[in-house]
Amino acid sequence: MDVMAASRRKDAVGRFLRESGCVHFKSTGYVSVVTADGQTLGIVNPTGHNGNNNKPKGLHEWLRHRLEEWQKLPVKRRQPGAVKVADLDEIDAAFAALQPPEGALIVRVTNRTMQHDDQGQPRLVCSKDFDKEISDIQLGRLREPANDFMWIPQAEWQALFDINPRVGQSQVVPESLKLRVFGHHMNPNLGIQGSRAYKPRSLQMGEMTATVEEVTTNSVRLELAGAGVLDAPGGMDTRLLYRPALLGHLTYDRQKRTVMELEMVALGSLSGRLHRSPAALYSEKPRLLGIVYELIHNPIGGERLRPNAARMQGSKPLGNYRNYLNPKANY
Amino acid sequence: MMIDVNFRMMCWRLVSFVAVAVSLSGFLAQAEEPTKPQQFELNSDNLSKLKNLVLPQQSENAFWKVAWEADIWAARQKAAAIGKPIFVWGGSEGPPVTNC
Repeated sequence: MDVMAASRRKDAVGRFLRESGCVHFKSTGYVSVVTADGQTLGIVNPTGHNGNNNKPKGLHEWLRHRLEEWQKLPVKRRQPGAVKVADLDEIDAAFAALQPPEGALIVRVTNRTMQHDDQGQPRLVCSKDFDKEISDIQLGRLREPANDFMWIPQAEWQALFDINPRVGQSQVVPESLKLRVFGHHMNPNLGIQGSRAYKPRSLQMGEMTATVEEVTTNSVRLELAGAGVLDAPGGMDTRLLYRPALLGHLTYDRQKRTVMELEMVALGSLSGRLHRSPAALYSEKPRLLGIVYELIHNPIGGERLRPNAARMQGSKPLGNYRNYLNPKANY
Repeated sequence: MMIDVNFRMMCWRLVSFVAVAVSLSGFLAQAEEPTKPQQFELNSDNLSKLKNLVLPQQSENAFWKVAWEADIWAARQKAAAIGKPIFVWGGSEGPPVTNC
């Protein structure tokens, strides 16, 4: 749950969260167990509770105790259907608007830091890639890919398709799409850490082409290709440089007028430091950053969460959302 | 080590024979440096392999193996209907989508 945004809601959702106390509004990263009728059975910071970097055993034990407390509640509160939760009759307009726009594509973005093997092929990172000794838990977290979501408004993806496409024809890629892909979804500060710190001076960092590769009665397939350079201040007074090449495909269903497939991969050298631990543990030496973009068909629940770059900042819930959907080169 | 010094001295004496010297220096450089790895370039042949390397493996990204509700109200309604408590994850402006 986006606690920062939820804390400011002026509707029944905001009241439920404030009255039940199931989230900490000033400190994120907490987990809690709450009943449907609003009784919080416990709230804890898993890192602090375990004292050892999210060691699972402590949290499992904590959860077991919360379930025991749940079992002690009267049966009439625990039975299926015993608690009635009506549909919302009022929704804070500022937050109701923070949804993916109608017709937008939702794309899962997966970022993984890697290294070259002796043959020059990409490989997963290992402990020798770090300047100092790191624990197995830290290595596991640094090796794991990081997630983000990308939204592509309907007007942008529709602009990529001509009514009478010919193989080899180049389609103009909307400037806003290029700015979003390169500026927001090739920025390791955002993609790996979800942080808006160390912004590049401009989002205009790459070029992208779309070429018609195949045309059938039912579909049009585009090849998407590009390259860019991200240059931003990094952590510990370093310069963060990422030089990705981009390649992928987008297939359009001419009968249903929808996108059937979108798949892109970016790969490039990354140097400089990110600013938060543990990603800051990487040395300044160049490594590889691979990014995969995949269309989500029929996104549900958590897959509809806002992209990192569109999340709220300070007391302005809509500012980053608007800038994300209508990016400008200099923001 | 001594063999190396003698070899270098011998090379120095051959300096007037430019062609030979150039050939030797090339040979020495090749012998002392490991073969430079070929730079990996993204292309349509390796796209699928690279994609599989970047995407989560079976044991990774456990967070996304849960069908999370992003809307607490929808979670309340579901929990009430099936008679279960709600596990709430209040992330930093969202879920732990990153490994920070």
